[in-house]
Amino acid sequence: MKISMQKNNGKLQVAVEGSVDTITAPELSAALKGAWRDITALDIDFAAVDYVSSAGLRVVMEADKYMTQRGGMIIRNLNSDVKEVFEMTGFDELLTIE
Amino acid sequence: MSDNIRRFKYNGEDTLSLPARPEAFDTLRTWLENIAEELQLPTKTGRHLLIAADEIFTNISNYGYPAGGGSANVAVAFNMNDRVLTITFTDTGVAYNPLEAGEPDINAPLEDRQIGGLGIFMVRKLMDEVKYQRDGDRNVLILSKKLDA
Repeated sequence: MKISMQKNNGKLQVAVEGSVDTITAPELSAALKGAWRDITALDIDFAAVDYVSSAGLRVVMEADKYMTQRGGMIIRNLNSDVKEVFEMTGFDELLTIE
Repeated sequence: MSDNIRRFKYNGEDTLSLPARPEAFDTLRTWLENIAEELQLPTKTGRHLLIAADEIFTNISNYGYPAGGGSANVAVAFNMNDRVLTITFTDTGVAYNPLEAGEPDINAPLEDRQIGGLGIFMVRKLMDEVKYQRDGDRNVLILSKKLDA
């Protein structure tokens, strides 16, 4: 998994690449927590993510929870395989996915 | 299709023993991907099996052996007659029946959701049947799925 981040005027943009699974999910969680202090918007691009397990969903859930009081979170560009995982668990209904 | 099924190692059965550590998932992934290829499973079916296996193995590697060490045994069997594929996980870790964990309320707002139970919820969605047995000091979890002809 690769993570790249950019912060502009309180908006944190994150692009993730690869697999967000048991092994890599903690890295994503740590990266977000290290950067999300004082932000007012979180934008996570999943275009290059090809696999998400429940460990990955937990990180997304945790980020959404954190951002609820701070301006909100958008998940972008889920590929069809990954989108299926979000749909299967009802996450697609609860998150802002574009 | 039948010729391809016959090529499946050990007459439709194969087993793998893994250390119960999260990093070992890569080995499990490669092994399952090879089996999916040998059985010429549709990509989507292969992916579903992999997600289910990931969730179960994650439970075992994260919680099965609190003192460290330990291993998990994974067996895949394919029955050519009824076209049912079975993945059996066996471990000698802490007695744990994941099916007794409450189902998450997937309609609850995210902030109210319980973290646990999500993985096994996905497994139940992806497989046709999930059974747990306690066999002496072993946890045996059997996942099965009927494959399309």
